[in-house]
Amino acid sequence: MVEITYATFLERVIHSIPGVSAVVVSDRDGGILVKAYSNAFNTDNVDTSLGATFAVASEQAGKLGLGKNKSIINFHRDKIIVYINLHPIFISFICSSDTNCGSFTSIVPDLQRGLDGLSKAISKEDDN
Amino acid sequence: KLLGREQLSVKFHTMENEIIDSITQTAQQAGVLGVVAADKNGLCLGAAGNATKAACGAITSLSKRAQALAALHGGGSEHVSVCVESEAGNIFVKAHDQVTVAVYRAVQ
Repeated sequence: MVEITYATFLERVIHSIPGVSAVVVSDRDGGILVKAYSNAFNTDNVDTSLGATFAVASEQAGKLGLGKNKSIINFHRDKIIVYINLHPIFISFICSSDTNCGSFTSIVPDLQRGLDGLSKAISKEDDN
Repeated sequence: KLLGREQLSVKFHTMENEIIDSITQTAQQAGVLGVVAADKNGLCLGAAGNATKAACGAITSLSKRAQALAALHGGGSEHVSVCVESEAGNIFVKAHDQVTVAVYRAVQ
């Protein structure tokens, strides 16, 4: 079995869904753990606030009486941002406005499997 | 009791009533195993029968690819439908305006 880095794994995710420009994996404080960008993406606006804001929003959404929040999709003027909660890690997808958001549902299990090692490492850090 | 008569059941009109009714009626037709409708972003608007909500992303993507293919070959991309044939049944996919509908039919 060929081992690949987490960044390479995320680059493959970018190529598998048309319209995705960037993928950022962060912890609950917004700290960027792994990221991958497409060639045309401007990275100036990506910082820790992206993940931190979603982590807080996801925690609050989990208090609405519908159970734990799984994902949030934000529709902006020019972009769609899809956030997926795989506690203790959070994944942010920055996509174009015509991206197929429904396809993200089907890749969540693959994301969980691919980032399982990272998730366990973060859990150990939180326990310590 | 309401005005001396038996209380009537009241159906409140909500924005999704029409599409849910259409999906339900279509799913009840003979030979239809399931129906699912998705919006332009691939998010599920409604599902009935054996059709799963998880298929919405793939269905929307299929429809968009078919429209792009038709446009490449000089045909109009407005009236494009896709038929997915398998041993378990067929799936007919059609997009109209910003809604994509897939009907799962049993093999006859």
